Amino acid sequence: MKRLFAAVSATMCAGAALGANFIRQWNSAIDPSKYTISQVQRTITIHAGDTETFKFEAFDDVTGDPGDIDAIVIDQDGAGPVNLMVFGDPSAGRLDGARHVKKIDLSNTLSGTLVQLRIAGDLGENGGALIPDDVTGSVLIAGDLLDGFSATNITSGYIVNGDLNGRILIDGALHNGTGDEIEIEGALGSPTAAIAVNYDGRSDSDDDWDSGATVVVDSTPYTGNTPAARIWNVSRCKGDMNGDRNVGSLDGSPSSSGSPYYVARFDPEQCEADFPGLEGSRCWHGDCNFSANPLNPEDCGYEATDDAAFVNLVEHACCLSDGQALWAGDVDHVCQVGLADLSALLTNYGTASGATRAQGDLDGDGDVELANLSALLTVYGTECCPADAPPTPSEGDATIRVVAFDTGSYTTSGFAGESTHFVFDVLIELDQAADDWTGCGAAVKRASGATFYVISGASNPPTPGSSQPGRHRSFFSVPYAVTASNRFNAPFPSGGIVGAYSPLGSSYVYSTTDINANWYDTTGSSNDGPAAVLPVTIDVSGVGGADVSGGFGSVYFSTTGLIDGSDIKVADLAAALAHAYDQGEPQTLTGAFYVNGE
Amino acid sequence: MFARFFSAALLAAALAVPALAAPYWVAWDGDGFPENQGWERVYGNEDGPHEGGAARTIHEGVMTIDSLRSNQIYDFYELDRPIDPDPGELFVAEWRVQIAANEGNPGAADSGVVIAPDGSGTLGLSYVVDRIVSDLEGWTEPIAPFEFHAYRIESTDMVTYSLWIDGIFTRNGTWDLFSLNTSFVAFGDGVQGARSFADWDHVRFGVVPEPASFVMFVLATLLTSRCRHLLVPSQCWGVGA
Repeated sequence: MKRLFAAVSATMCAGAALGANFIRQWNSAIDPSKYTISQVQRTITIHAGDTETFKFEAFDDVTGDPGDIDAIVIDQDGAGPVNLMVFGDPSAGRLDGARHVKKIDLSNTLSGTLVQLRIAGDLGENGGALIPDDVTGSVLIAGDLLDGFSATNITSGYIVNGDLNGRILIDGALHNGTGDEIEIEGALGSPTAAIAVNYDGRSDSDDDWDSGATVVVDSTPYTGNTPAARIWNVSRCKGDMNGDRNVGSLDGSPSSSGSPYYVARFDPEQCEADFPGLEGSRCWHGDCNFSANPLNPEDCGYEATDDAAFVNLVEHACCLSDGQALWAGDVDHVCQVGLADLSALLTNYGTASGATRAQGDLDGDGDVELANLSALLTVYGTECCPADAPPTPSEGDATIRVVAFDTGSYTTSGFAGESTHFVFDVLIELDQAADDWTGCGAAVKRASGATFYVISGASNPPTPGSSQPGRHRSFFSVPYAVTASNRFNAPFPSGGIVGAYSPLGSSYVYSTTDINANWYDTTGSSNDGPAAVLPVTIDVSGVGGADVSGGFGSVYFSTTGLIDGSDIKVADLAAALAHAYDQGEPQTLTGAFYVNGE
Repeated sequence: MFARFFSAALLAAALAVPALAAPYWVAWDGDGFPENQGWERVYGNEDGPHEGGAARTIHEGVMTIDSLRSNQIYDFYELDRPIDPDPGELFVAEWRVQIAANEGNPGAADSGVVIAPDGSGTLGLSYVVDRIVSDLEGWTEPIAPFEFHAYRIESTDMVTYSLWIDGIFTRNGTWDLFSLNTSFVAFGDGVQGARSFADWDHVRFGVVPEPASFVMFVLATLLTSRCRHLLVPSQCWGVGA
């Protein structure tokens, strides 16, 4: 019995801490006799209106978090139209307003019409808005229209029984619910009437017009963007000023007065008249250099530098959607991937965590490493992206492998091929001719007293001599045939070394005991495979118990461990290959070099 | 001794009902303010939530909620918990109330009971002095004014329900299932826009075995009724389960 009582006490405490949903009307000009709020049922009934603006909000009465409104019923009797705003109170810091409004029911309206409906949250599923008369103003839903505007008979569709003389503006998505999502039995009755999905043009979550979702106006179904009918599925494209979901010459020019871009920038009212329904995306689409302050709704972001960015977008039929899904390598948001982007990335190369996109973290995982570098190099030198989205690279397979290179014929002072020095090449192969090697990472660490045969006093990059056996020193190059002379004379015609591969670091290592680097290529190379990018020359003279009497083959590379129990590991290798078609993380290879034991 | 044995036997029998989720029974019997017995008091006035509230008294097992001072007063009691029955069980809610006055905006009924099932939905029954109204279904039933009436709701699926008034079957109805409300029972003055004077004798609800075990339920109800004379009603069978 004591336990039961304790359970009840706990319930009491929990109830007290959670707070309760509270709805209020906060336009002080409204006479309270004109509306009734059931706090217990979360419903609102409006008894009368005279083009008055009712402003409702719902919130938790303890935490202040946005709350819910279950239904709003316009229950007028001979009164005039109603403005209805379900909206947070900015002065109270509740900008989100009601998070969810289940149903707007105007079915009992006898003479009034809905002038304006603004909902800060979602308009709910299986409820929607029941609007039996003309909509003369606008309907703005900041969240999603989850299932549509409800009809008198919910199975027959979602209907505005009269003309739509204002606008239905949905900031979120138009989902495919039951039947037609929006049905206007009449017409878009005024030249400024419009319906817009993803009203602000931003790519918030999945704001879009879902496949199958249908808007019917005057018996004509629309299943997507139809500019001629002023029914918009607003694109996310910067530069799409005319709402056709493309960026091109039809979007105008900064110097052509009257063109869409020009009007959007210099004459907002005319822009709204020209493109009713696109007023909410006007600033976003025209702020082509992303300069608007996202924390300031008044900052449209238009400035002179937008003009050049817009021209660039148009010239390349380019659509930049948002700051997160930018053209892959465009670190600095100028619609070009070039030296400035590469420099920014290289400056921060090796950052293990906390990096930003502006610092080169293109994949958002907080570090700046080979995958980021590869992503940038894949599009290096391009000025813009193709229309509508960053390109999806083609897929292609690549392999990275290690092969031994027989240097038995090269024995001079300081070099004894296949008795002291054993040369291995890291080779790459791409199965698509159009694919492009963009970078490589390798870390080699000696073991058992072995050393690497390196270039004394090497610079960055370490360039070996072109004559034998100097060319068999360990060094880095872009892909070349293993004996191609320019592999030794000009290992980096375009590209360079940046940082260490494993462990990730900002400085590369090149010594007789450790070699650890990432290196890259900034041009589309024609030597992408099979070709060598790294010779590793291992000197096993210091390895006790080594048996090199067999010459070539006495030292071998294995990814699965030693072959014979007496063999001796002389170095570990970890390597990675980045290429344009890799569609993800670089190809990797790990293994070890072993020398035969006595 | 016999009563104690009888109660123990009843409890044992009730708990022995096979293959069902644990039945529960919540009872507020007017012998204390509901917020002291596991309910959450939700109240406010024209100045906002947690302001003012109704004038309340408890006398001889009846709580009076008087909000005649202002249309903007609301003062109700909500108990949040899963309420649905499992198959083979029956949801029951019963209350007894008298509405002495109701004034306010057109059609606005101030006092009532709301039942929100676990899958979301609302059954909102509210009162003017001579009628009970289902706010979301739209029906009304006349009642004799200025008298106590006992109401009883039964449902096996929380989609449809049956209503008895003063022990007489009155009508069937359905929950409005397209609702944000879920898993609570509430009663009292829940409306801003009307004012009222109401006397609440008791509000009880719970899940009991379906009619096959109905006798058990009746006995349990009898036992529960005994509990109203205890200092702590929650010590009755199953409260808070």
